[in-house]
Amino acid sequence: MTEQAKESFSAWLDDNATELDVQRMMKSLESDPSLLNEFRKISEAKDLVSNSQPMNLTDGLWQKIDGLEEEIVPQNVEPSKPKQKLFKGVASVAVAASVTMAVLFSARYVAVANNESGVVNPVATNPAVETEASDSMIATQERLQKYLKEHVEQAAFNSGRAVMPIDSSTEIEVSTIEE
Amino acid sequence: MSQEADLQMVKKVQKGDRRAFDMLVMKYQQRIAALISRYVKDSHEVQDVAQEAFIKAYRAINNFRGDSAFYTWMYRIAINTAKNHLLIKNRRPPGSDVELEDAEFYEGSDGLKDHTTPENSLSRDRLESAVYKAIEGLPEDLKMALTLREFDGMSYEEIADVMETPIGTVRSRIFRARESVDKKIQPFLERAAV
Repeated sequence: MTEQAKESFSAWLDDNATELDVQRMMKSLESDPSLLNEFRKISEAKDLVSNSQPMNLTDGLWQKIDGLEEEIVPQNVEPSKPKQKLFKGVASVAVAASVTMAVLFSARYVAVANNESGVVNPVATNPAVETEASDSMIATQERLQKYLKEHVEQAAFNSGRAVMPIDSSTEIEVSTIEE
Repeated sequence: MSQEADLQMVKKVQKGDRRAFDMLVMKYQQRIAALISRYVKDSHEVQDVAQEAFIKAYRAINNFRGDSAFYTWMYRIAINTAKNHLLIKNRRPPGSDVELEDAEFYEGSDGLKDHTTPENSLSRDRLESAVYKAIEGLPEDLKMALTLREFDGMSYEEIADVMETPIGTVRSRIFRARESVDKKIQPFLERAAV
């Protein structure tokens, strides 16, 4: 097999190899990589007989190619960008989640204040403390609405995709409470 | 025959087989170096530029679709690499390119021989003498097949006609002749390397 592969290689150098020769050479090389050195010797003998300077351009070829590929990889890939994108995505999700939590919290707070949940509110059902409690609740509610508005505005500055739906709802809720 | 075999080898390279590219390099290195020596005169530079051309070819191998012969594609890469090399070195490329038809048949070149020092010349002379003796010592049928191929540039078919023997026998004789020459000159080459 080895001798046949070497004969195929000799024919390959002379432009006389068939597809069968190619298969034979590659199969032999696969099972015995040292055969490449035998091929080199045949190539060298051909060069010398034809009065050419023997050369082996495969020497160091792969080190150079691998070296070039290592140089290219850092140029093509900018590792900071995906991280920045990831951070931006996580930040916007965090902002959206905190806004949602705040809105839910305030909505629940308003619902409790208006006793919409059906749960008996001892403060709301006691006429003695009703006026005092409702005043402090309105003040708390206003502070919360102000805080929410500031929070959402800040989120809008941080993320270009943020929206401020709180404006209209704030007016409605506040006016509802005042009524 | 050759183009199909080349294409088959290129497809293996495209699938990631590096040995297949080694085979293409070994087959075409002399022709490519001889072509580059028309532009670049220094023999060491010629080898560097030739290797650079093969590196470029490897990195662009997936663009090779087989519309032309592999050597035609490689020839264009080699010419461009040689011209770029001259521009980088602030040397002017020759006015006209080497024609592909000329390049196809342009193998060995005296410009590739390293005569830079007397030692190199002496070493070269000794090597030539050893090769000559190795050829002279071959059995007649092997010697005839080898010299018709290497010195007269005949194809296998032509040699088969001249020697009135099947092409398979010609192939075998040329291979055995090369192997025999290699065995006789290897000790000499090893001494030269030391």
